[in-house]
Amino acid sequence: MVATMGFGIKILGIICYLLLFYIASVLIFTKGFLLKRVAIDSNSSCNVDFARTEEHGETGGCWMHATHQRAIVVIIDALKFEFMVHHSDIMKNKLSYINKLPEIHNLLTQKPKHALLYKFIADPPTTTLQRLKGITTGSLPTFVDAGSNFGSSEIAEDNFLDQLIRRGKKVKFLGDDTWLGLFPGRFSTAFPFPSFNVHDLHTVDNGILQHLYTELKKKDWTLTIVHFLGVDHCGHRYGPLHPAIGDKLSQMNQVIGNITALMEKGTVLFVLGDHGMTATGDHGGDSQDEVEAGLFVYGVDQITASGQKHGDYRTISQIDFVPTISLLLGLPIPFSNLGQVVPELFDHCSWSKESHIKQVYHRVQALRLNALQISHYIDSYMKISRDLPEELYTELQLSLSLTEDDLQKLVTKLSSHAEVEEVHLKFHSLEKRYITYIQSVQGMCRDVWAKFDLGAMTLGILTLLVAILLTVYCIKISPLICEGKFPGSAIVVFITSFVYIVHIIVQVSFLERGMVLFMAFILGLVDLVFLGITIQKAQGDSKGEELKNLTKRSYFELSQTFSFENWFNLFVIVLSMAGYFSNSFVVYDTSISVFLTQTLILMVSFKTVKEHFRTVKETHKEMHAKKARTSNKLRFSNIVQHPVFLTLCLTFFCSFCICLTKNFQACREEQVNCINSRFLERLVNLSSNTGEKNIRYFFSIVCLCILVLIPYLLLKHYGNLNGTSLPVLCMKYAMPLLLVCCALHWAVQGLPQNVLDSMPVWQQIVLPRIVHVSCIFSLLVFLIQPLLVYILPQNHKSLSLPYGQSSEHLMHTVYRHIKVNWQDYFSNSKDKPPVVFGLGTVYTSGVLYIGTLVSLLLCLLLGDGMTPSVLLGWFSVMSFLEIISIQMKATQDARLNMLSAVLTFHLMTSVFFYGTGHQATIPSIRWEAAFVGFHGDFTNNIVPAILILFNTFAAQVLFTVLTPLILLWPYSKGIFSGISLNNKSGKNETESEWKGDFVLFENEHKLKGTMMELMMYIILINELQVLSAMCAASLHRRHLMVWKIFAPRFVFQAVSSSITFVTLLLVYLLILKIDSQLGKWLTKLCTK
Amino acid sequence: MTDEKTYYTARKVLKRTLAWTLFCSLASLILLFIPFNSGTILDLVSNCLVATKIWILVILIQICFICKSVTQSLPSKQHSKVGSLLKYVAVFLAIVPVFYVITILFGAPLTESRAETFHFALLLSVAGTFPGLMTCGVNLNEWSRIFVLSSPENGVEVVAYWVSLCSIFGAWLGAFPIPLDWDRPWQVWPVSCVLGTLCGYTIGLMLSSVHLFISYYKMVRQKR
Ligand SMILES: [Zn+2]
Ligand SMILES: [Zn+2]
Repeated sequence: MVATMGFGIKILGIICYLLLFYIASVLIFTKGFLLKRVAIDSNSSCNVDFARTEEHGETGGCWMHATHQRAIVVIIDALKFEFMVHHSDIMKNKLSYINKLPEIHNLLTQKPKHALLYKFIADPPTTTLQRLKGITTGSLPTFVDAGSNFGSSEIAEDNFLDQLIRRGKKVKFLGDDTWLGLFPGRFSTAFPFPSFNVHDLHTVDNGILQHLYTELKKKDWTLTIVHFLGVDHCGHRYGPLHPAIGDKLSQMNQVIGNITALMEKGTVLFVLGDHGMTATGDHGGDSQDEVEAGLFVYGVDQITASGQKHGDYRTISQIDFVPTISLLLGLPIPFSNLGQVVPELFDHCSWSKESHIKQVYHRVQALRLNALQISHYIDSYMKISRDLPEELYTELQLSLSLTEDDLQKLVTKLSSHAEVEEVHLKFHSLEKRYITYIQSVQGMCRDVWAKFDLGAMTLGILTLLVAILLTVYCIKISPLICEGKFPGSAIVVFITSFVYIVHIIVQVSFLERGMVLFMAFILGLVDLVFLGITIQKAQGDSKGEELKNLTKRSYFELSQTFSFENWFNLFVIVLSMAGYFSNSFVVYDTSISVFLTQTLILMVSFKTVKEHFRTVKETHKEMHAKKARTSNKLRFSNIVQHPVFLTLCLTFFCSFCICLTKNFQACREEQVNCINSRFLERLVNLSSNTGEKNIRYFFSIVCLCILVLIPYLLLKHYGNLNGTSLPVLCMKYAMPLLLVCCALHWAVQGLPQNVLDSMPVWQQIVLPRIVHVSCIFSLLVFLIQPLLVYILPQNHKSLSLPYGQSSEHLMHTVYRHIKVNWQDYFSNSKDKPPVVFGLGTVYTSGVLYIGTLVSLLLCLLLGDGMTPSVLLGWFSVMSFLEIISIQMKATQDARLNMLSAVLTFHLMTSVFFYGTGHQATIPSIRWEAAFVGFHGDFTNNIVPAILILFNTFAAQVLFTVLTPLILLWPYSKGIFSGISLNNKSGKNETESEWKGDFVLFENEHKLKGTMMELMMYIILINELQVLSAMCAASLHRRHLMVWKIFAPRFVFQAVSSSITFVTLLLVYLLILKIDSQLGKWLTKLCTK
Repeated sequence: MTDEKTYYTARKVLKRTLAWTLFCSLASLILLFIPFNSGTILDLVSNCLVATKIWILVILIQICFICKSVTQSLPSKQHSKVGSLLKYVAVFLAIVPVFYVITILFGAPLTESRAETFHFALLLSVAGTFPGLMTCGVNLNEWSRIFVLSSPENGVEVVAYWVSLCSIFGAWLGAFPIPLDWDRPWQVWPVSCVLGTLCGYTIGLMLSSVHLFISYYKMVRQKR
């Protein structure tokens, strides 16, 4: 027994070793691919040591005196620089968008010191939401803005709107409702309009124009933000060359004209585009067309002393807008800003009117404040994260302090009336030094936060490739392991791969890049080649073994590894992997996974039918030889019990269940003509008048009852629910309790919101808490006592077993004494040896028990709407298992095609991932799951993270828990496969008694060997999927949609595989536990 | 002597089937690609339903011709015509809804474009099961021998085997371009699937002629 335990633990070790590879590769790849930045919640305040306001004594202004009292920010979505600049070239005039904004040109030429135009460069991703974050906070975009409240899109970082509001100013807003999501509750007046419908060109713009002028005239604001969407929608719909763009731009021109006419003294106007558009009118990526927006600044008063040569427009970054507008309005610069002020806008004010030196000094002042703010930000960032390179950082800070010193000296010199020309030049050089500092910091941060690390990405992919080959190797040697042998090549393989992984981990976490990285590549490649060779050899080995062992088997069975079915499975795997590289396939993965699953189910059932016909053909031959008569009468019962008929019915049922999941799918943004499932709606929001609420609720309850009833009836049928052991009691009494609590919880959740809010907190959370606790309790109880068997006490009869036999023999003896079938209980003859209920399904019952618990918990987390979907999951798994069992019975050597079963299971998992209302996008994560049984005030993030993970990857968890049934079910005589067996070969039944999955215990290594093969296949398929997601993400890293489609797809795939692996490991441990407990139990029984 | 005779009849059958199959495959190839995107009545993209109907007829005729060519040369294999015809029709009528349901299960729209789905199911059952129906009728054992255990005998059975297999596989492959965002007119359901079925059908005919040719070649060489 100890030996088998050790064997199981060895396999556990191998799996953990593989998982180490997987985790290392994913982490390394993520390090290179996912750009991340920690958001800091601090805000800039007026009272900082480096800024003083008393210098000029003017009204308003915090770090610097305000040169403007009011600002109007007009954002014209997708306003490209091309649209704003004036072209004198007549030929170009033919393009529809050229010179459609003459108002800007007129202002630039007529009032050169009042108006400025800039090329306004956006940081990719050039999507409106990301851009608005940049334009208001001055920070760089990343994939994970790991902020504190990750649930909503609300901006957590400091920004100039909040600075304004904090100083008691009013902000008005008109336009795209994205702003309301970013700044909920900040605007004194807001006129939001939905931005989603791209086909609608005018609703938003006309809605704005209805209110704009009256609102501007009211003068009860400091900042008015107007966001027009028409140009962007025109671009999406028709492209930039269509005349509609021209019309839209002309309308915008009129708007600019009207606003400038309305403006009074002290008001400054910014007209800007959040991003450009490509030749097809789209945006999102980083091509020049998308990145080049325009910024136009106009003031009623003079805004600059230096002016701008016509046609010579400077290029500034979008984040530069943030410090500029902040200082112009006399606000502190937002805390996490990285932008640089636009110097020209700071050289004119009442104080510096006449002297050039004063103008330059004024500019230097603004730049200095900006530089000190950035240095302050970087300081505090370095305290919480070690992302930034330390050496460069200290170097930059040193240069800044030197510049500061020089400035101080110069200022004292200035007061002592030194030579004017020299001071002037020195100011100019200081200005340059500040600008250099700001730009170097920007560059440093950009490098760290916005550049892909190709080396790490390649290393990650390489590591995963090694892991995949290792997995293939393990699959290849698993037939040997089934016989309890470890091949010699294994040691060599594990040593080489161990060297590789240690090298990789050390290199990535401790060493700098350079020569060592190259070494890692070489080592990885050598490992790949070596593993390839070993696998080839291992294949030969196991083939040879098989040939030796299985002389009886026909040639066909041997060539099974290269059968049509396996080629087809490979084809499906390749297809699903290739799908990751196409954005439309990722978007429509919902339908594609259903399609592929249906295909595989059909293939499996076709195989079953085929096996049946082959055996029929063979038996026919025998019968002909015996000249026995064949009865081919068509009787109803014959048809119903016919394996082919049963297979077809089960296939249809399974396919139908898979097809029904469509009703539970959520939509992702990119899917056109898609309507969110009604089941995703919260129960509260359904109308109770039409009865929809009640119908939904009771339907869910019925589904939940069936969900519990299925495993209950199965276990009862197998006789696992006898006696009074704790797990049995849990199954009998705790589960119904859970069910009732779940139902009541949903009913509470279905109450109107105001009723719900008036309830005390404990009343809202007590019901789900009961479910959580009793789930954990039932689980613990099962772990203590994992055998759902019951010995019928028979006092007069006891087992008398001879001692001193080999353990293998002992088992058989015990078995002969133990009657499993509980029907024997009723044919109660007194000579019978002790009756043990449920021994034939020890393993199966364990899996079913855990499966029931898990699915109840998942139902609670998923909410009432998704319960039918979980039930569908059970139905399809069960019917699929029945098909497999029929197939196993038809193939007499009882070898299952593991690959197709596992692959089908895997595809079903992804079907049900979508079928439980999820999508592989960040916005579709259902955050409300974190509040099931908790009331929101978490002290740490672990509990809500676990709940959300369970909710999101419910399908993965459920299906992985049920995975061992692929192995166990064919032994445990399912309902339908049982019938078909009775029909087909009635005499076989009496010959060998039904032993159920107890057979697996008798054969020492078979359970663990096949279990290992099964797990290896699951790991392999998951690794392949992650590999293709990785490759797709790195291949498309410059793709327009990388942050919307490919990166989330990779993240979801990686997390889903990790969850699958962890669950798999736990399930395997459970099986081991059952196994060892069974061993102990039997020895105890024998020694009695 | 009888050996000689059976050999020659078999050879003759093989030759005839081969000739007919080749002819049919060429004909369908021409029919498939010349009107493609032409806008005429045979163009699948613009007149999907009509073109599908025409194609169903074409396939029926072609299969009938191929089978007829063989049964003519085999006078011993006569069926009672009316009875068998009725049986065929009944089986066929049962198969169409099965394909319809399978199409829905694989993800075809349930409520919209029902006519298109029905036509596709009709086409699929014609291309996928009619050849089998013509060769083995309603004999389940024959069916299982040819299609499930994939061991067709020379002659029409080879044609039936390849044509059915390739048509269904083609229809399956035809579904893949649908989600792509190319916005082509032939990506609309069920055009690409119909196209896939027809391509599969044509390729099936070609493959079966290759198969037949190889077995004919072997036969001739064996004789020598
Ligand atoms: Zn935009
Ligand atoms: Zn847009």
